Amino acid sequence: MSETDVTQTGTDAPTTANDPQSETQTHTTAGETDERTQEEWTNFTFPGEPKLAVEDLDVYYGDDHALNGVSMDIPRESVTALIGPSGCGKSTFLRCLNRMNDRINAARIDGSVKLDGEEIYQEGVDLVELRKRVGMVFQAPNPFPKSIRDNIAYGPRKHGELNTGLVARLLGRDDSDEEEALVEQSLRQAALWDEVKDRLDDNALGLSGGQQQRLCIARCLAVGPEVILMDEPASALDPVATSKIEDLIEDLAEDYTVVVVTHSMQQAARISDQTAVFLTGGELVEYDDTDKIFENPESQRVEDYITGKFG
Amino acid sequence: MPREGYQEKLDTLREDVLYMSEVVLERLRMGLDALETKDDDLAWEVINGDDEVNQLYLELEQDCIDLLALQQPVASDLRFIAASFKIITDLERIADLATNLGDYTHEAERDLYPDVDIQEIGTLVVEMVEASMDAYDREDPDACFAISERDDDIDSRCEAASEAVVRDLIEREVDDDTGEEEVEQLMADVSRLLLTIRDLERVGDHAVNIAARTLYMVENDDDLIY
Repeated sequence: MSETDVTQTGTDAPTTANDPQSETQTHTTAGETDERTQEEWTNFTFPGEPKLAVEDLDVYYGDDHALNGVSMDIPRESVTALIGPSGCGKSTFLRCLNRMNDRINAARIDGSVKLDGEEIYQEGVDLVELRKRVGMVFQAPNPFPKSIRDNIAYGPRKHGELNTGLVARLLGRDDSDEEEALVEQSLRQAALWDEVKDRLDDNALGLSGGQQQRLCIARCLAVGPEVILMDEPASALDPVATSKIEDLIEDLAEDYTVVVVTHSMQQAARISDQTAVFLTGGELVEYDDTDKIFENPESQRVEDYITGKFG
Repeated sequence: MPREGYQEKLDTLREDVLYMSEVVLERLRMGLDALETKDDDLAWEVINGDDEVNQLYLELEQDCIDLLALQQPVASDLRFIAASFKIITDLERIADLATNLGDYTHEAERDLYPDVDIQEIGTLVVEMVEASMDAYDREDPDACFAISERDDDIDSRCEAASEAVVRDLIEREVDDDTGEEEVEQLMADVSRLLLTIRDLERVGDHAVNIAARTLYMVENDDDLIY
């Protein structure tokens, strides 16, 4: 509470910090004791090229400015958590990463999102191809009302990818029955194989909520993504199922770039390598190593949010 | 403000740590008084009062563990609890050192080395503990550095005092005519005096620890921690 926040204009930081009005102040005039700017708080750097590089991203839903000039680089093969209060734009941001917002007619998107250096918002980008590379797992498990096997094989079958070399690449080996092998590998990666291997032809809707969510993750993995976006992937699950999903997310980060939106700050703290904090107004306020964010955030507004002093 | 119950628990912890420091400081002052006035009753009061401090320490330790387990504190709240958790250990140790002063009072039967001013050093370390708890209360980083600097003075005073005692011992004429009883008494007095000096020096170190944890709490700065 004693840190002087550069986003506060008053001299009495603790008082203004508790004033809900101050949440909307976004000035970056340097405070007396802290010369760092908000731009620097969000300028998280890491070795290597970013998997995703977002620059000056603005999203409007009609008159509503849902994302306000967000720039952030997301490192590969790690877990990046996006946290913030309801309506802060974190889910909007997530959906921009595989152009899911394109489906919303009223949405207007400005700015740049590069995947491995390639602009995804340029003309001629194949959205089906993009969403294979950047998969999405949603809050409520949404398996198809089909067998477990069909849920996994649906994507590769639909895209005509079986026996084309893609599956061999995913599996790292040639297999006479590619579909069978892909189903097994995807379910194993999603830590579900042992629980369902004897009932692959059962309807997926007969699985528990946690199993359904892991099936959705397996389905996402079966088309060979590079990035996995997750929007509140465990919020509909009980603690045991949640911990399985959390373990799985950590395992997936060894091979995939994972970006997770979560309402649970403890979950973000447990599973992520870096955390981005969005606050009211669709603004990215701070982005840094997760331990830094939860032990010593730079921004007084982030401090107040994560300690529960507002929100 | 949301999480009001949680905020109240944090406030209570702060107040309780400050209360514990008052109790401990009182014990320390009483120990020094007992030593000065050779007041056996006062010395017993300090020694018997240590149970209360230990009890307070255990209760506050449990409060910290409960807050960590049940509230999942982060950021400045987390640093406050982590710092408090460490500071109560230092306070408990200071109280132990105060009971040592009580013990020395019982053992001391005569004045030795009037030029070694135990009370002066005692007053200075009491002030350091007061200042460190004040820094904790006011969340004052500058005060933390100032306390750390004061410890150098305490250390050199203690070193000089110990030297004076040992030098005097060496120069004292002990020969075959000196009675065995007198030699033993001399040895006991000297060791007790050296222990007293060392204990007061340790109180200063604990005050620095408190300042170091306070600095971490306020600024996430671990400069003073070792």
